[in-house]
Amino acid sequence: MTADRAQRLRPDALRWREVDREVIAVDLGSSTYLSTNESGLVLWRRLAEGATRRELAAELQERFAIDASRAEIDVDNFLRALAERDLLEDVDDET
Amino acid sequence: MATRHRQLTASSDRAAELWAAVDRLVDRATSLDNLAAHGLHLFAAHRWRAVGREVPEALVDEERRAGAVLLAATIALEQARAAYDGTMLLMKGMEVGECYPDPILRPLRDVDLLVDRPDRAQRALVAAGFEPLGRDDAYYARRHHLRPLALPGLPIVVELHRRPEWVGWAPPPSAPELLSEAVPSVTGVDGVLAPSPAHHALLVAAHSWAGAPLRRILDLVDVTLLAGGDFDRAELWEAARKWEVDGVWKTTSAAADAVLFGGPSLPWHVRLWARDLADVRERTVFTNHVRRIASPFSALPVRRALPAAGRAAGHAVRRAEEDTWRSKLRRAARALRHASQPVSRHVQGPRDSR
Repeated sequence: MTADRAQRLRPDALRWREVDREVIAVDLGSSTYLSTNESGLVLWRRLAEGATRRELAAELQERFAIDASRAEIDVDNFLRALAERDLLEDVDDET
Repeated sequence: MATRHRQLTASSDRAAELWAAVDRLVDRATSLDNLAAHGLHLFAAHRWRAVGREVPEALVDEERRAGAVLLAATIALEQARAAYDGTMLLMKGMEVGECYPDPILRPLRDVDLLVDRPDRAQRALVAAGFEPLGRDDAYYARRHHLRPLALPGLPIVVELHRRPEWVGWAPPPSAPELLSEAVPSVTGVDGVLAPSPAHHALLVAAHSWAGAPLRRILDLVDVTLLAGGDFDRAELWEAARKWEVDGVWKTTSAAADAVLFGGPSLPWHVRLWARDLADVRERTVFTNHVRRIASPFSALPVRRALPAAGRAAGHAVRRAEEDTWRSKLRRAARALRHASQPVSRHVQGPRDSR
């Protein structure tokens, strides 16, 4: 997670819904259900549009009043879990 | 056309009145179990959150489950549509749920698809990875739908229908007749159709009646929503008479008006055998039997209702093929002991959320 490039969720690989303050998603490749908590919902919404690691961490810091290092760790863990499932793609420059 | 359907139902004044009426029923219910018996438990979560009342964790879990099922239904519908090149019409729960304030509020158990060539469609879906469930194919040979299918890992069943489920005294409308008047589905899945609003309202009313007359409030909500569309009522009544469900429609509409909108007085059939709707409670073993025997008089002329009621009474006392007289009598005695108990406690089976 060194390069701070903008990434987004792959719409062709996922279907998701918000339920109360959580996200429930299906990884279409494996028919596996994924879910997030409330902070995951914040990150998920931003990633649906496309966001950088720095933007995501700043969002967490602002919403949940946590320090920068904690926010970065949480974002890295979240992005890693999605990347391991091949659910992220780089946002093209023109978009 | 899809947009038209949505606007004519969900955004009409009648729809706003309907959701307010459902909130009032939620407020009036004495327990979550009673709301669940009528398919309204997910509305309770929505309502309670809106008024600042705590939502029990078990109900939050139900919401998560509903969200997972709805996602699965969308995926199954998309993949079914991609697998089959014929005409495909989505009926009932999933289609109607799209007109709810949030589709997750409407419990869903399966995806009901009426298709032009059912056997061919079934083969196409199986070739695309859907797996058959339930009993063997022979069991479904004379039923209204083929053997249920599911995609591995997804908690939803797809049923390909030959014809709609219908009341016992009349033949169902044919698939070509329904397909000829179909409109684009509001799910937004390309190439999926839905029944015309008038047809759909009758299909939902007849399906509900076939399961158990005036079986739950959720069905009244579906019917009210569909009937609120801006279409010619004469078209609906004409189809109802032709398909011999005009009595069912009249009774269902009257019950919906009374239960949801508090008409001047409860219709006699609601007072006599569907009081559980007005009281927002689960029906008892006793009223369940009364309902089966008395309901034909609310849907048919007396000369046709009498034999239908007789058949219902006969069914209640007749021994099933796989049954022995000993087990039949044991069950009858148990039913008598449990006469005043809710049906779910008597049968101890899973709750129907179709």
